[in-house]
Amino acid sequence: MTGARGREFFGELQAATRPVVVGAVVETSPGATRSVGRYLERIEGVTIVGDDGRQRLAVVWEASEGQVLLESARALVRTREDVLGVFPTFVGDSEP
Amino acid sequence: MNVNRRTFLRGAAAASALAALHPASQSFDAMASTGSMKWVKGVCRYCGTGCGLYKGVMDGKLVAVKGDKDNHNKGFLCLKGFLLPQMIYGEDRLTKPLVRKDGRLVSTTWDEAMKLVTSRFMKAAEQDPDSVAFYGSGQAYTEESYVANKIWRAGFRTNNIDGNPRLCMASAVGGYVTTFGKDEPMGTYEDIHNADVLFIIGSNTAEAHPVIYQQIVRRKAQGSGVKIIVADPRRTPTSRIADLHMTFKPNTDLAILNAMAHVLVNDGLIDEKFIKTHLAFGEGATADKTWEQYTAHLEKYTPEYAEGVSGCPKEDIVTAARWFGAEGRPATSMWTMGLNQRTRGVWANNLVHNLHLITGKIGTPGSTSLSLTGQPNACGGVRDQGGLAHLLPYGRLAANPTHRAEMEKLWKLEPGTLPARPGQSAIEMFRAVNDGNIRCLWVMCTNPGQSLPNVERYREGMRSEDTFLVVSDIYPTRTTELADVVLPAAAWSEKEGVFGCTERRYQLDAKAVDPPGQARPDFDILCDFARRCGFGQLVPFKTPAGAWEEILQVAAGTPYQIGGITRKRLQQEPGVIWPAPAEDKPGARLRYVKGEDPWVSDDWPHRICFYGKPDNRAVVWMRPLAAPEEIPDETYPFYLTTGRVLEHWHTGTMTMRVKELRHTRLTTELEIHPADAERLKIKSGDKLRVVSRRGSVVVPALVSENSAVGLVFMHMHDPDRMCNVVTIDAFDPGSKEPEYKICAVRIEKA
Repeated sequence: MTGARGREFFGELQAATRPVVVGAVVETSPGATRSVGRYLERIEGVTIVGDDGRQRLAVVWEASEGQVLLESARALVRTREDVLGVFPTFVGDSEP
Repeated sequence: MNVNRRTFLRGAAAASALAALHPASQSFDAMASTGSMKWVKGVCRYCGTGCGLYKGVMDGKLVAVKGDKDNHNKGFLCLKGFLLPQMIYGEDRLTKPLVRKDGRLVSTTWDEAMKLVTSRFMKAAEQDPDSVAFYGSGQAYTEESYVANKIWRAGFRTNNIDGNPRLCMASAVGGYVTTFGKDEPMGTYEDIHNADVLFIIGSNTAEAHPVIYQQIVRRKAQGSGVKIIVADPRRTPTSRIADLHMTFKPNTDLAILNAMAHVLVNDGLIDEKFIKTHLAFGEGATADKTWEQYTAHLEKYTPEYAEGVSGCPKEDIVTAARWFGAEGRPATSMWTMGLNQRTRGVWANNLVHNLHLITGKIGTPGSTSLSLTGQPNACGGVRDQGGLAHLLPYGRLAANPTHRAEMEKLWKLEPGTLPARPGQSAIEMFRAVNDGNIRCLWVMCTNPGQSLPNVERYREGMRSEDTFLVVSDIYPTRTTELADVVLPAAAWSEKEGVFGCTERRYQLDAKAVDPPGQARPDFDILCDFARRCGFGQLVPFKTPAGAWEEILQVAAGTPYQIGGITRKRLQQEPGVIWPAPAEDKPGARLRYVKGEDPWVSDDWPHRICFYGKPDNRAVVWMRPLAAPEEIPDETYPFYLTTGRVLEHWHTGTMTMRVKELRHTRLTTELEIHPADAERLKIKSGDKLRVVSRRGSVVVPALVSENSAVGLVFMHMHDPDRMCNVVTIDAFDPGSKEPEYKICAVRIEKA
């Protein structure tokens, strides 16, 4: 941080690595659940727990740290045109 | 990880996702009722969508969040929302009051800090009441904003109280008030589910309001032939679902919107009966024109003309207008900062309302003009409580003597207590700090040291030895580093209060855990301050619930009609939409509509009554294309626009404390089109200096087709590479909202 009154609090912020468990719905283009589902199954920690047969997949997503999970979700949205969004419904932080 | 706990979490995660997929499912509720987790009802802390959620508490710590499937968000949250628990546990939480001594902030006691703050504010106010100011936030709870408003106006007797909603939605307020006579939208999110045409302009909904975006996606999937029009100079994740993406040069949407109206009129896609019965026409500030004068005004705005000035193909303009105006197909418009953060933001809002008014597509299910809100409580807290310089609570105006007299009676003040002198809006307020006319400033729950446009200009004033700056916040920020006193505030979930979101829904966000160290709720801090100042009679409240009781009385007799939104009801229901005069009845989803809005009498002869205007007619305003404050030239050849990304929120003060988010896109990049990048020999990752007439910032390049040729983009979240060093502080003459979305820059290799 810069500024005459800066550098008072900001240092390298540290945070513990914490495993997370997330429930989410992956929204796809119409009819794309099957191909997106196949793609998701190849991602470590992803379990498909249901779908609506057309445009939505219910998944449980586990990761050793949230960073991995978040980047995977981001990559999914940004690289696949048939994925319209990942919408979490639950997150559990396993180390209270 | 504890296996039992993992098993529980995995089951809960699966159940929640399935419940969202199949709303009738009760499995998650059953799952959630087992185990040792305690669930506390609340609202998401971030944007103005107002997603309902439950906070999972275990061993006194917030460890989980789940969406509330009984609320409008149907159990969904966005990527930011699901990481909320971490947000309050950053290692650098402020836990002790700090005062500046010998140039450094050092720990002190609450009593010492508050004594200092009280003495400085009282001394300044005795000399000049207008030398003390409050800069609040659309993130503070309603009760907090209400108390601050009362202290400054009735205690210090100044109207120098404003807040960050001035930077994000004041133009929407101006649009609603000038067109309809009253602030706040007439529709709700339910309109999305009934619309056949969704017109999204100046909003990257997919990143800024993801759960609303999801509802749009659902509507498109479930409706028959639903058309989505996205009007945005950039290609964004929102435009991915568009049937028609209209791109244009920044600011020229003023011409496009007029051209759409031109097509609607020429093609006969208007509702003549609605026009004759419900509308007036105006120019400037006076509604004294006619339909004929309005259509004459539109003659110039042919699709060909609009294409010429905007670059948007005329065929797209015609298509958009015809889809919007198609008979029997409800249309909902949504917008946010792309329209609001402009020197003609109010005009842009008026022009969207015009499309709905001339087609009569308003006040029926699926037809509405819905301004999306950026903050969780800009509507309920600042707009409704009168937390802007020109306002008093619930739509009253500080300049109106009748309204002041009403508030004096309600607040049990001597007649003449409330000041008539106009207060300073946000940018004017910080200019007054620079000029030395405001000497004491309290900033609560916001970060103007990063978020103001042309920010270095105002950091100078805040940093000055002549300014006494108090900041109450939960983390160190680019503003606390300038402060004389920093007060540690309780965060979301560590206190209780009401949020009011985009769709007029008031919701209670309940306390779940205790604040760390000596941190206190802003409500308590403000009441303590008032008592120390001798204003104790103004804040006889022991809890926010006590203040809520008074707020209900203050709102009584106004069109807001929130009498049925009792604390008890808020504790039980997933929010209540106002007007809601009766506790046992739902709120009105269609404002201004007979049978829905209790302010419209049963004997009113029409379906709709725009009672905000003396003649009960909404106004179609004639708003021409006008230039922004800056346009590119030889020295500064690029348009710069600023905005948001999915993973971060506002100045990043909360999301950067979440490890997963801090390492994801916090660094601002300069997004530049490949053609411009090739011409300037720039590749992704190159260090670039972005230079405007106000300053420069060095950021890495991101070559992307998301930007148009001649247009570059930076996000607003990065505290170390502040885009606002270069943005412009010119503002709309009506709303006083600055033009973050448009300025001229040049790009140099750094």
